[in-house]
Amino acid sequence: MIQLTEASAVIHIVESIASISVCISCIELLSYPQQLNDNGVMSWRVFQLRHRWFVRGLLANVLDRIFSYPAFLAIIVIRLAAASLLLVVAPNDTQRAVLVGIVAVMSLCLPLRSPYGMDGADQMTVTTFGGLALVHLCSGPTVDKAGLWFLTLQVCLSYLTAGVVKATSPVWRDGSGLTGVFSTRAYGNAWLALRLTEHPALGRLLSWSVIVAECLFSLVLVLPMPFALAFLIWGVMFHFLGAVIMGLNTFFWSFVALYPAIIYCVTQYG
Amino acid sequence: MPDVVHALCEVMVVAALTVWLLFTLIGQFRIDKIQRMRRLDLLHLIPQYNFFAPTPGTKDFHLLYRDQLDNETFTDWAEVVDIGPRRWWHAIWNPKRRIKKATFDLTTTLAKELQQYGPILVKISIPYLLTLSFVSQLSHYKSAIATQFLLMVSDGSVSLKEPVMLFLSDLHNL
Repeated sequence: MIQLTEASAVIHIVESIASISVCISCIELLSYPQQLNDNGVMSWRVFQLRHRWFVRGLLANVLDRIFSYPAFLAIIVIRLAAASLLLVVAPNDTQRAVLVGIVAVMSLCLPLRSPYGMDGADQMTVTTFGGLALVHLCSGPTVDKAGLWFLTLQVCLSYLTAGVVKATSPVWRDGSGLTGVFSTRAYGNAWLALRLTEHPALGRLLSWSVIVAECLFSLVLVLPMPFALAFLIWGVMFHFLGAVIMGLNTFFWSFVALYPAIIYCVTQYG
Repeated sequence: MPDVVHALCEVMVVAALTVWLLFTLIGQFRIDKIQRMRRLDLLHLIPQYNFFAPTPGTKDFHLLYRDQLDNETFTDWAEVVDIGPRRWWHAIWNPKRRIKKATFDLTTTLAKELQQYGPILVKISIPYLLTLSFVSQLSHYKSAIATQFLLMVSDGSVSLKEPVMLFLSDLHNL
């Protein structure tokens, strides 16, 4: 059984699992590249009009060379190659630092080029690889631990924010919000939406279970391990169902990738 | 790396991670001033963790377009992105996920900016220009002289209500 006691080994596991999300994301983009072209819904030609620095001057020239279509596909290919190497090959520490840095920088290019089409998985990928790229600048026991705590607290903050904001919303408290999301074409499931519409009490129960679990997830940091594990199992199931019901496939890998960091922090200091 | 330099580097990295975490925490507060500052975060370094809350997207937005032909008649409306039903393999492989989200972002932002700036000023907004650029490159009739797009909203799969029109663009020459 893998012992999550050495910080650098845990960081390697986090990087490998998070790389799965990056690989899927890149291959999906490359399989449907027309969304990135100059007339697509993620067109750089239009999005560069957001800021005068993106239209005129040195920065505009540089960004134009990188972000124009099809040149930007090279950025995605490089990001895919770096993430694949992190996942498949066992690089040494220096190589790993370079690869993590490449994924981090390339991940920042996506929202800079087009803020449309980004989701929570992309946000967590930027946080994960950005944080770990900093850690690799001067990796050592102290910095590695700090990096794992950074990731752990980011996950806890994400669930806490999501839970608290849902608890303040009347449509989440009465279950109609969840039923509504499941009835949309973008994130929904027609079969489940119909069941929840027929049984509103079930929708309310599901909605409250999400609110309570998200709000209490941070207890994972203070509960002893067998109890803390219950929250992690809930988290895995939650993201698995999000992938199956809502099609949020990369959410699963982006969030579950950080669970080894949580296990490390809980076992070392919990 | 000499010990002093390494120690200094460690302090700087730990400080950077702490500041990042602190900014992320502050960024979660739904205060207008804080949310306005998000516009400066072009790299999306500060995540927004209120997924699907407080008001989740419970409506479907539909983008349609039609052409004006050279004999002054119009073609039928056609939906631009037909995202299709949920499939089991979307849990693993969902290549149209991003275009679905981008189209969702595009239509919701267009609806918001329409409300904020009105039907005239919205025409110079990013979502309007993006939609026009997107619609212009779609397949058009050979005899088409102009195109027009329409934004509609519906209540989702369990509702029997008809979709409602949100916005009808001008005719734009092709």
